[in-house]
Amino acid sequence: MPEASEWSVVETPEQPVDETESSNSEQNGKLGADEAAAAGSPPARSWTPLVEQIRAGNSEAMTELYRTFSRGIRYYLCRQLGSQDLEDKLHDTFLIVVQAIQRDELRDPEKLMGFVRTVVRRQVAAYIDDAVHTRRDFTDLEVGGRVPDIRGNPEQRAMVDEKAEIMTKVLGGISRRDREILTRFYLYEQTQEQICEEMALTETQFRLLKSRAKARFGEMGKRKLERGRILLRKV
Amino acid sequence: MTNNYSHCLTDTQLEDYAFGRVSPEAVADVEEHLLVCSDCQDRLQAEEEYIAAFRVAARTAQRPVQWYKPLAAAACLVMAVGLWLPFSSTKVDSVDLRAERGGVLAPAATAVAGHKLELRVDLAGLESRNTARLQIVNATGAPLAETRLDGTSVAPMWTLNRKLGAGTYWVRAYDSGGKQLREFKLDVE
Ligand SMILES: [Zn+2]
Repeated sequence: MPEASEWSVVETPEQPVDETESSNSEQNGKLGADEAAAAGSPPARSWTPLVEQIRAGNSEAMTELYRTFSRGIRYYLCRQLGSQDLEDKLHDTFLIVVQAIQRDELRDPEKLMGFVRTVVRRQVAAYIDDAVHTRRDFTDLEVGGRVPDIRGNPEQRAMVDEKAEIMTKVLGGISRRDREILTRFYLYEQTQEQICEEMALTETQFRLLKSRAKARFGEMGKRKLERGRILLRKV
Repeated sequence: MTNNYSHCLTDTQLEDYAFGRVSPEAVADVEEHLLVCSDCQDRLQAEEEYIAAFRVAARTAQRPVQWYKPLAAAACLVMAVGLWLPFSSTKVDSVDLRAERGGVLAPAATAVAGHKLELRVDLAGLESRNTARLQIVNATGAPLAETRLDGTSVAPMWTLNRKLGAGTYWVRAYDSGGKQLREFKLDVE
């Protein structure tokens, strides 16, 4: 299914990259204490030497940049766009990052992570834009035209089906009320506060139910995997 | 941990990110960490697979069981004959229009032709919560119906006043500036 996630908040690809989009816990002061401790902590390493070497055209520095970010970029692209042409998209994105650094568009090298994130998000927006326009052009020409499937593949679907089978067993083993609580949260995306209020639950009870279901799911999945291995050994 | 960052994301942060509930102020921190931390990437992937599995399982459980169908059909017939009312005209089907996450493709949204439809539209994950309008168009892009939203719900319900014939439809969500935020495919059979 085509879907333009975060469409409205990603800038157009033509705009110059601004590393100040990178948020910083110290600067924005908007994170709670727990979040500030956990999310986006200041890097233990300095990015300046790496950025300077890339500016100077050092190929080892480019390899290092690739090693540091490629998995994360690949993951983000795959999460947003699916696995189709993923390596090409990764390559294009990486190239844009390197070229932008070499054009001195990254003013503060310490904001490299925010800079990379901005480039990746713009790439995602551009790919989604392309996909939607391709579909519109197509429907103008032919009634009933369909968007190329940019998300998921048969392997991923099979994996989800397999896990859903385990989940069905987990859900079958809990009370109707507990099932409703989890369904409200995971399927209907109601917030913890809303569910606790409407179902007369404490926060602790809610968390406990969630973690028990998850633990049960994990155990059953592990058991299933082991059974599969035993069967494989027997074959 | 496989990088130089001392703090990984909490379970709550990962869950919030998977549901698109991280505030715009905090999302950059979370995504920057995810760019370089393979542990948190794995944890997020596991979380999203868990949510996807839950949804498939929960939806399967919600579907009516097969043996029930002949009884329901017989009941409809009795009512239609007895009351001179077409029972199907009051039937409302609930349809989930979901945005996919984690690169995992869920089953396409489908509905029955001629039934009254109640669409639950997945707007979770949009950083911009100012979704103002939903529109349904047919396969050629011609608008069929539209509704305004309050802009706060992550899964607003839209009861269509008109019934749809068989075909492919697209439900689009727009922000207040008229920019398209999301598009969902709906197959009516
Ligand atoms: Zn981490």
